[in-house]
Amino acid sequence: MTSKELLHLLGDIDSAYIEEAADAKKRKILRFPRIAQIAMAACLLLAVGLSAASLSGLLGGAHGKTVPQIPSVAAGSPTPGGRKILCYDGARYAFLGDGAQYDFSALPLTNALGTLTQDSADASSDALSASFAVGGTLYEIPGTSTQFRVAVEFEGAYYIAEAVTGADGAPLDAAAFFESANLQGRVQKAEILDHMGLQMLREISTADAKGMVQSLTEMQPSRLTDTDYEAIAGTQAQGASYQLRFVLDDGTSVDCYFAPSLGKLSLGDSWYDVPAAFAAPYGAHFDTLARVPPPMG
Amino acid sequence: MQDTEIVELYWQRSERAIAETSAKYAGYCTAIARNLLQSSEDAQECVNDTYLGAWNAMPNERPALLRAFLGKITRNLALTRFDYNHAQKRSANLTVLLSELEDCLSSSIRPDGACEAPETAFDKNEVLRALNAFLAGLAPLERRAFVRRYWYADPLHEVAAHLGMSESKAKSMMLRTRKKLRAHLEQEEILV
Repeated sequence: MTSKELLHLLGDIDSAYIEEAADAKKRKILRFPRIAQIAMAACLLLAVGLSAASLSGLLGGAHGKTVPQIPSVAAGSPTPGGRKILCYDGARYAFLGDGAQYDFSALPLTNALGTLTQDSADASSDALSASFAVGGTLYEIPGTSTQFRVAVEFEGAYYIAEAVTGADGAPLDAAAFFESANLQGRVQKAEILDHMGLQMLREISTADAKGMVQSLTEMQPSRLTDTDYEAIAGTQAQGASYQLRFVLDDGTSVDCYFAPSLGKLSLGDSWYDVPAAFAAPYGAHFDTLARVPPPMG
Repeated sequence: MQDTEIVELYWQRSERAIAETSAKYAGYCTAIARNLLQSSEDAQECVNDTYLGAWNAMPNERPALLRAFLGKITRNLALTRFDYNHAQKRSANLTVLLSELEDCLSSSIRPDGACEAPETAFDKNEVLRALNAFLAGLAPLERRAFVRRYWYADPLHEVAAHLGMSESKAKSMMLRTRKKLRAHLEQEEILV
């Protein structure tokens, strides 16, 4: 028997062991201590002689124009067993970037909302529950509505979760979601990428991005049939489905999928019918795009 | 959607089964394939083929554990693709995995110090029975670590993160477990 044969045979072990290992969770994430980061940042600020006033500006004070950035510092990864979800205040939130870690040192989190105590993603429960970062602390992100996003601190790392469904799994109200996100005020540009998000196809100006957001506030949830699902899958297979990414002023983004030929756009976990107010002025952005079909077997 | 409902969609031959499977388990399957192949493109192809594999396997089968069922299909497809690609491009992670598994099989030492597995005939069912018995005898933590490494093909640092220990300590644990497996396979007279 060779090692390759052994590796193949291991593939047929009892499914119970595969399930057991799938549910194993990372216990510890090694990360540079946050207090050290803050101390280093403070030293740097002192070294360059920033005044208290300019520091206030940097942190988004009343007269400051610089918006605190929330850079991603570590990519997330798909979790065996499904997406990383938490439930708060009756709604479901998905962790951005499959659990990507973010640096909140420019925007300290002070308003704790509770602790993720249940290893479940049952939105019907009043308790905070999550399928990831259980035991972590839920925070309000300063200047951001909790109906849009929340932050989670877990074992020294910080994550962002974004609303994907309303109460009882209902589709998000697009207008309310965009308003809670202040998307029109915060969007800096839009980007169109292939469906897999691997290739940037077009960059959209701030003005057009704001116009897109404004027009999308009118969209209504689609009532999809099996035929619709097949059609959506068809556009994805043909490379006729795109990621539409609204880049925000803090460096993060709100990502949707858009199938121009069907006039359907995803927001959170639901699909919506795109209104004519969007298709007419902005549909041309998608007309001449390269089609990038995902690799098929 | 519950797994039983997804399986039912396969049995009804509804193509929505594919969409629901993708929505729920694309990440899971992609992680397995990407660990083995270290290529997003190849991994995506494997995942797409997994849906086709599941479509073809049902309704003949009604898996009780859909996630593991899909994972097995993905893993087999990824290993097959690895064989296919092997001449052109090599997955470093998989190559390391194969090298590590030599420890479980070796009975001779090559002049360069590496172990060499003998090419012997074996009964697959017997080996599988022995592997399951071996896993049953491991402590849960050690078993999870072994499965994460050699079934999910997690990189060692990921296994260490799952165990909450340093990478070097996880490496030592893996080495001990492989030696135990070799002893077990010898005891079962699968290795001679």
